[in-house]
Amino acid sequence: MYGYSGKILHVDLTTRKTWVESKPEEWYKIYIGGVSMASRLCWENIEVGCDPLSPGNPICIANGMFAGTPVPVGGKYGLASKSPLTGFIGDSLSSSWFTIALKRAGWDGIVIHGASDDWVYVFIDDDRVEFRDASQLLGLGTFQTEETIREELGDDQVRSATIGPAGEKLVRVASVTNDSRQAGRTGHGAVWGSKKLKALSVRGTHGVSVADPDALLQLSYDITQAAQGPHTQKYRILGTMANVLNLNRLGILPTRNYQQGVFEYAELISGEYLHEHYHVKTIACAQCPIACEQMSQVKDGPYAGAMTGIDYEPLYAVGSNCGVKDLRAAIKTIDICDRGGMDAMSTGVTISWAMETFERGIFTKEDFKCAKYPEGFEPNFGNAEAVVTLAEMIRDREGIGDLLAEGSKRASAQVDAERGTETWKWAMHIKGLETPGYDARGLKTFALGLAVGTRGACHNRTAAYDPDIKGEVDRFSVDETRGKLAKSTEEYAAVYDTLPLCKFIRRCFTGKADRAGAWPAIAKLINATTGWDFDYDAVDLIGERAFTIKKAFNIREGWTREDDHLPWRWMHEPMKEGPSAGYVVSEEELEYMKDLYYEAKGWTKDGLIPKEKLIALGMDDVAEEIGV
Amino acid sequence: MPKVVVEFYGTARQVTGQKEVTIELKEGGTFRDVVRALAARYPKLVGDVIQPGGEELQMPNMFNVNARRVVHDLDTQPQDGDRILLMFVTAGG
Repeated sequence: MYGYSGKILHVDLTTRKTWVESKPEEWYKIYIGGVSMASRLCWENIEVGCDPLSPGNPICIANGMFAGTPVPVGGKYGLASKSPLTGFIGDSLSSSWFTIALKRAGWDGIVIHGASDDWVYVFIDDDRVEFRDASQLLGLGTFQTEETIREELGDDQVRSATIGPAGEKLVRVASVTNDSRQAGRTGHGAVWGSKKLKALSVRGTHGVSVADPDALLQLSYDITQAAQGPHTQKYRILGTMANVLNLNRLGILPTRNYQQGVFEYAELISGEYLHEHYHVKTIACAQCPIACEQMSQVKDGPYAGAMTGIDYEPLYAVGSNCGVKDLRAAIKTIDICDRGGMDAMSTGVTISWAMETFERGIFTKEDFKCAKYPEGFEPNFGNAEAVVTLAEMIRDREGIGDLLAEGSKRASAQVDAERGTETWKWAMHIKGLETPGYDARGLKTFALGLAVGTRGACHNRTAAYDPDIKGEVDRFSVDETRGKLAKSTEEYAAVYDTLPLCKFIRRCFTGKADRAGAWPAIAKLINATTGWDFDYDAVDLIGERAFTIKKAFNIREGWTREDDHLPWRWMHEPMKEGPSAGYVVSEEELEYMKDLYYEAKGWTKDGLIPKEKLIALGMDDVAEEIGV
Repeated sequence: MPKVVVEFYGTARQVTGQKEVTIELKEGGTFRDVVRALAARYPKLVGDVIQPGGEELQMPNMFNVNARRVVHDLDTQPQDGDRILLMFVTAGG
């Protein structure tokens, strides 16, 4: 087999045993890699119904066929477990050198079972697996953990995926970090922490074989050249931070816990402002010719020295959504999240829930006592120091941080149970995962895409904002096209997440990002890598299969139609101002769109998957378990 | 004669160094005339924001009128007083 080793490594932390599983080529043709293969490995290896923080929840890693080859932006891997935030599939992507090391070590995937009694890190040295004491790493941040392991092993080519203090403390919004990139969402860090796994380190020394090296090199060269032109210009100069002003102008920039869609200080937290005042360097993941990460540094004030890569999603969450206009505080908060090993999106949105709960008089100053502020503090929207402090408190589970570390769904449920309140009405999450940086009241196709998302509120697993923002449909209304659009856009995104390829390359194949522009070119890349005979239709099926295995996982874990919901606020509180003023996504609109979506997917009205549908996708064993 | 305001975001703002510009159109002037006027006034927009030739926007840049609707046909006419957002939206991050 070209492009793959055909081998999955299993590691049991309980017994400290390892074994190798071989998969047939047909299995690879269905599940491919990335989030699809990782989710399939999770399907195969989980104890169904288990607590996500129990030994029965496996950590599943899946590489892609393009890792370690010249294919631009192909250095990504998928990570899947049952999410401690949602109780459903938690699938994330990360990128860069760790991916390539794993490929060179000869593994298409890793499954980590059980749980260790003592803190360990696992060192995969090509074929050899070593369980190493991690007690000296406890308390270290993610970046520092990577460096310390490199020093301990005496090899700067060792790459590690690590957790920070947040993961050690089972913070449910904790992430996994490698090479300063995060598998950020759905709480993987807590799963690793529950197993007492501080890091997974890899040294890979083998080559990567592909079917047609000359063809692959030429294809990769052409794409790399295109990636230097206007198709990626928006990512290279300002990065995703360019969204701040655009979305603000459209009235959909989440502001003060989604109470508003227009932030009066948007200019001060914009990509343009960041670029002028705090940007120090633009960096790229391994195997990427684009380079979108805007490294930014605080040079003065109380947060001087804070430095990390800034993207739009973390920034809106700890910036406008918390009413914070000081970019220095936002950079510091994201720095705390990155080093502490936390998803800055979920962290920021959980903090904004706490700020609103305080402003409504349910929380008081007393609730915010901590070592830094023994008398407590008042976390009004706009209090930048409060946001910084709360991020630290969540990381350390200190004071009210212990509650917020559970994420907004659980935190609101606990407060409401204890105090007889209804704070759940402003807890902004779907299935337990906090909402992304687009207010869906002004993007109704996107609202559907988020509601039906298998991992909860995720902007990366659906591209349904695209038809709304590009004006292919009226973003403020609902019509019969939305079910097919949500299906089409989620499966489009899933192709990239499964190969995996970074979506930022999508215009560089032919200049057009649609299926007609990209799928034939991607088929050529697949065929030159593997020797397979993929065509447009085969590429298109990748996305449908990826989404189907994740949905099947959720169904087996107890998903029902009612789980495809939206936050109460988006359904009942109209936007107050700006171009999206007056809009909600009504119950009637959402249920209508869900009907359309399930029909477009070929599912039942209850959102279940017919057996014949699964069999047609080559998932016979899945059909036996959950097909109807 | 109709006047429109073009608001610059992202690359367009970086290239022009301005947040917005007012453009006066002839009677019956179209969005394509707005593109032409921008290309003439800010030649550096041609390339990353406006296609060579100065007649079409470079994908993925687009015109959004008053933050309400996207312009799909450059040969249609803006209304007097329209605010035209020259923007793109990125995904991910």
